[in-house]
Amino acid sequence: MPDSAMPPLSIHPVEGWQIASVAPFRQDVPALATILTSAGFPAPEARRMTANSTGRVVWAGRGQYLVIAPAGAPDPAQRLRPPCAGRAAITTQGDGRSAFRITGERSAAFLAGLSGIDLHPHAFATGDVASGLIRHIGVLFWKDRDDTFECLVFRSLANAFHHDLAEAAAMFVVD
Amino acid sequence: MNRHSASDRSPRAASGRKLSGRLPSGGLIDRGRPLQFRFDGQVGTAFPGDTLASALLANGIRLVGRSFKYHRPRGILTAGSEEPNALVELREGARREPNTRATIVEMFDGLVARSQNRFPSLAFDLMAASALAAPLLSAGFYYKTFMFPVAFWEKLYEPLIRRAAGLGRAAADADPDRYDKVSLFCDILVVGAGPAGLAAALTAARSGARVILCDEDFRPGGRLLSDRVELDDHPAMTWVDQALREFESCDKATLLLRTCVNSAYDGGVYAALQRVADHLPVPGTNQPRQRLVRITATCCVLASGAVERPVILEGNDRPGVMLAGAVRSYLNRFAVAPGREAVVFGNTDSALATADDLARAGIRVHAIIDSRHEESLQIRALGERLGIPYSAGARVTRTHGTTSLTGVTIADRAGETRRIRCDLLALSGGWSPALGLATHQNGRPVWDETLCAFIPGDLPPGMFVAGSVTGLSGTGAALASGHAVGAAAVATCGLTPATLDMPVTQDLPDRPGALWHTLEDLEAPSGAAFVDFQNDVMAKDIRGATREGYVSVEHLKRYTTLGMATDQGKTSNVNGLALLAAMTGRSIAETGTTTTRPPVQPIAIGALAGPHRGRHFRPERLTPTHDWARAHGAHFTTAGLWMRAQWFARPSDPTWQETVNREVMTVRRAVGFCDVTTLGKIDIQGPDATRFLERIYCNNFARLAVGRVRYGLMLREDGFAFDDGTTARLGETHYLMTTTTANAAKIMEHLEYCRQWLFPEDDVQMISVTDEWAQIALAGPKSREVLAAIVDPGFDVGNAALPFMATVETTVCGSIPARLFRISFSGELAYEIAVPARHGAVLADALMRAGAPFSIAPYGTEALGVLRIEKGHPAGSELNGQTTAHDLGFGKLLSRKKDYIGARMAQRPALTDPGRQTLVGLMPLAPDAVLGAGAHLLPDHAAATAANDQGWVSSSAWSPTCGSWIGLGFLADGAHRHREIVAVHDPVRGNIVRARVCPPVFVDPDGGRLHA
Repeated sequence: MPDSAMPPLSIHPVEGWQIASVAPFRQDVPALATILTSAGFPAPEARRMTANSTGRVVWAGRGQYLVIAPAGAPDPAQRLRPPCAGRAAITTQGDGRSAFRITGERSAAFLAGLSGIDLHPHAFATGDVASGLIRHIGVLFWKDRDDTFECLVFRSLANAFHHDLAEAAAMFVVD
Repeated sequence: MNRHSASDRSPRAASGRKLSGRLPSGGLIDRGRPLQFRFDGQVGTAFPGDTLASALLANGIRLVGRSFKYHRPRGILTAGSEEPNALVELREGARREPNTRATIVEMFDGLVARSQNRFPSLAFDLMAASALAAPLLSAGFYYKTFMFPVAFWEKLYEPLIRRAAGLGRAAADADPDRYDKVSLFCDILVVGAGPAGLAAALTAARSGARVILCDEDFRPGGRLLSDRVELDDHPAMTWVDQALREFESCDKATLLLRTCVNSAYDGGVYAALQRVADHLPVPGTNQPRQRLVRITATCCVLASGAVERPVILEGNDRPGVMLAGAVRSYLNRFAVAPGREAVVFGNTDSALATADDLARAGIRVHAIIDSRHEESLQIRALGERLGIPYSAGARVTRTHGTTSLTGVTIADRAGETRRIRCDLLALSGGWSPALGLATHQNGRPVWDETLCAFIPGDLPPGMFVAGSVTGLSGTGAALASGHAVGAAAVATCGLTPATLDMPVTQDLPDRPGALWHTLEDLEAPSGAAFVDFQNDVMAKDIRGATREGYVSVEHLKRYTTLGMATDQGKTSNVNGLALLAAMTGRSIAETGTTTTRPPVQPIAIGALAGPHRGRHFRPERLTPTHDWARAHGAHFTTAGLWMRAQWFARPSDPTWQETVNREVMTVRRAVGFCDVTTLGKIDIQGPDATRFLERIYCNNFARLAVGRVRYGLMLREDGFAFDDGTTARLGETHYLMTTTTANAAKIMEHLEYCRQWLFPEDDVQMISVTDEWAQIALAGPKSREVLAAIVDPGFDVGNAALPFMATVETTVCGSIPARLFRISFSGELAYEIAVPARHGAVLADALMRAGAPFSIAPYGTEALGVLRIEKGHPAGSELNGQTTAHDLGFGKLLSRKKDYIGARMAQRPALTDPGRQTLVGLMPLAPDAVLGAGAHLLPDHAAATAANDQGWVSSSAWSPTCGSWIGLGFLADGAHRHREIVAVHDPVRGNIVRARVCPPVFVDPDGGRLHA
């Protein structure tokens, strides 16, 4: 199929992410970065996300990170518990959050329109993270790569979020 | 001395039939595609590019509405969004839209409009008789007239006046269309696509800035659409089209037509309304009708232009009186003749030169009346060339006609008057800059005596102004101003401004002379000389207000309603305050202006609501067993955002009450289960987690052993009870707190506040795990057997291994990780089982299978509520923010050995008064007598007065266990009044029930079942 047939916008749920929240005690972020790195997860700076073949680490607020491994990979919470013992709080969140991937050449405009956050490439680079509200639902999202954003919402709101995205997208693409 | 012409009958009146107003050529309309529309049932013809107003005029319809208060016949005054008169009901059925300005309605095929505020018809309006009652309806009439008899106001006068006044009718049915909300971002927002705005936008776009250009019109160009201006010896629209082509070719440039920027907020945020599909009969599939756009901009170039003012003179509201600029719009843009015989009256050369446009269209101009005493050489030459008499220092003093203009009276420099026949008065009192957006952050406009206009004063941060909104006149000046201001905005954004080849134009700036009114006697203004057309405010109303002391412009507005309603006084405000200034002997600068607030143009409530209506009003939170519950017959209810199963009806249940009774008795006699995921769950970890909890809860947590659970009560700073729940100690430095469903977010916020601000020394981390775990309560005497059947082999659920208030981590249903808590809300032997949320439905299925031998049943929130009332557990109704630990019977929980939030304030005398209303149980003497929640508790047989009010019912339910209605409530000194009979007075439901006070625990008071 030619590229021109690619939809300007598509929204897909992402299944099976394993997520561990990691929050260092004493706000000792440098020590946590060392632990994460040695466990194979690159530690991001504030408001950033890093990714490698092991998974992603997403800054989720001051002194709080979400470590994400894809379905089938070793459980990040289990991997991190031993090195983090006494140094950081580990909490599983894989069942508490639902993920969505928004792709397409108009994905930035679509998500910016909904979130009220400027996602122009000059303002929001690949790896940037933002926490905001979309249709009254709290969303943590980041730019994974060009024209691709990933969003996390609370699991209980996933149905409402998907419905709202679909409604908004229907109005967006007729322009 | 008055001299009248022999005949002043208009061509319309003389012929008795309507004349077509469409000119044979010209205009920005597509004559190749005729459209049909209906107005009050009459079919008319129009073309793409027309507005409803131009189409009405083209079809010879000049009377289009009746005024708000006096039902005076009204025509079309303007050609823009400032229109005060030509308000119509547009469309039909659920899409009917009242008070729509015909001047901005873009024509489409099949358009249907109706005139409003008239009965039985527009031409013959019986309500026009209300004009006879004008003396009773003067400004502030409702303070002075219709006063007696008193009872008549509410029952007779007000309903009658409300029916007679007002504008259109809203649709009775729900709006079928969709409304969208989006955010946009740019370096430079340009408001207005006239010459100044286009020059600014093009400069910014060429400079590489992200630019959004908005214009409320459906065609960009501003006044260039309407005025015969040449740029570089070509019609101005040629330049406009070229500029737009280049603008739109810039990849960071966005043009939003039909988009009015309505508000300017802090931080460079602007709100705009885009009328996406208002110009279509019906929006396309998925197309929103309108879109509220939130624009965040580093800079804003306000090039919103100016609004022409009418002149206050007797009969200035008659159909046929039209602003001169609007006359040029109808002639040049729409190729419509708004009349056949005209008089032009104004105070600027550009307004008076309307005579030239009229003459070119073949309309006979009888006179050019210049209010300025000094003759204009340019206009004199024009008059001589066209053979039109030109009078300087003259004025139009009144108009004549009934439902249409038939003539005007003119007073010359010497005061001599004469009457001239005409059906069109092209009128101009000068221009008022459209500076609303410049004032939304409290910037006050500044009076410029030379320009006879208020111009923008202090501007909001990041805002620049260009073109006629600054008081400039002339296309050349507007273009130069737009380019300069655009370049300044570009530089502010850190970019290098590009140059623009400025087109050459011959038009000259105007020099207006003050022209507000032509009234002879300001002490007693005679006749219907209107200041505010939309609100029917006349010069004599302003006089009346000043006599009564309303000399402040803000008071004048409130008292007379000047400048209110849909047009917000765009054509009337400055005239009104000029008149006020003259009547109070002050200058206009001293008189000042009222405050303008958002929005600049009316916005439908539907557009503000956007997509947030119906089921999208707020998001729904679903529990992990939602689909399972639906498949099992659940009826759902809301708990905040959550959807919870209220009960699980079976075909054999005759009513919901039977269902709930069955569910309650299943728990009491065997076993049931209920999804309690919605209760807040907060994971708390850290070296100081124990100390942190000690500070949060009023009761002791320091000695809670690992693997144990404790009930906790937390107070607010003011000493009142805040929330309760159980907290489990999962490890030495690891706790899991639960909160009530309603307070989950509030408690999370409270804990964050405590951690970050009150106790920053506590090394503790916390995160919500409410959504992470599906938690199901398993309750009833058979619950242990059911639990034993679902835990993985080898795990002991016996009383010794898992005693009351114990917690343990294990696996269930074949290796699903689980946390078990032996806690009970129902008062029965009970457990709560938590599994990762994705396994919620699996757990529910497993419980159904394991409990089948005991006829297990799921239960909903109704049964949950009955069970907890029977057990006397407080919930949201009891923890209502007004009760203390003592009131709830938890006085003994308050630790005396530690400090905690609320400890000091809880000791205040008022909170420890033994006479306070405390928690009691209530049982009606007649078991089936309904106890209503919210009812008052009175001494038995006491009169139902506030003085006898001793308490209230907080929760009540039919208890199938007790075979009676039961209630929880708060009663003064309640703990010492058990067995007393009180009256339960329920004025809302209109009954009084006698009930006996009892302890608040109806089931298993000694707690034996919990420990079974």
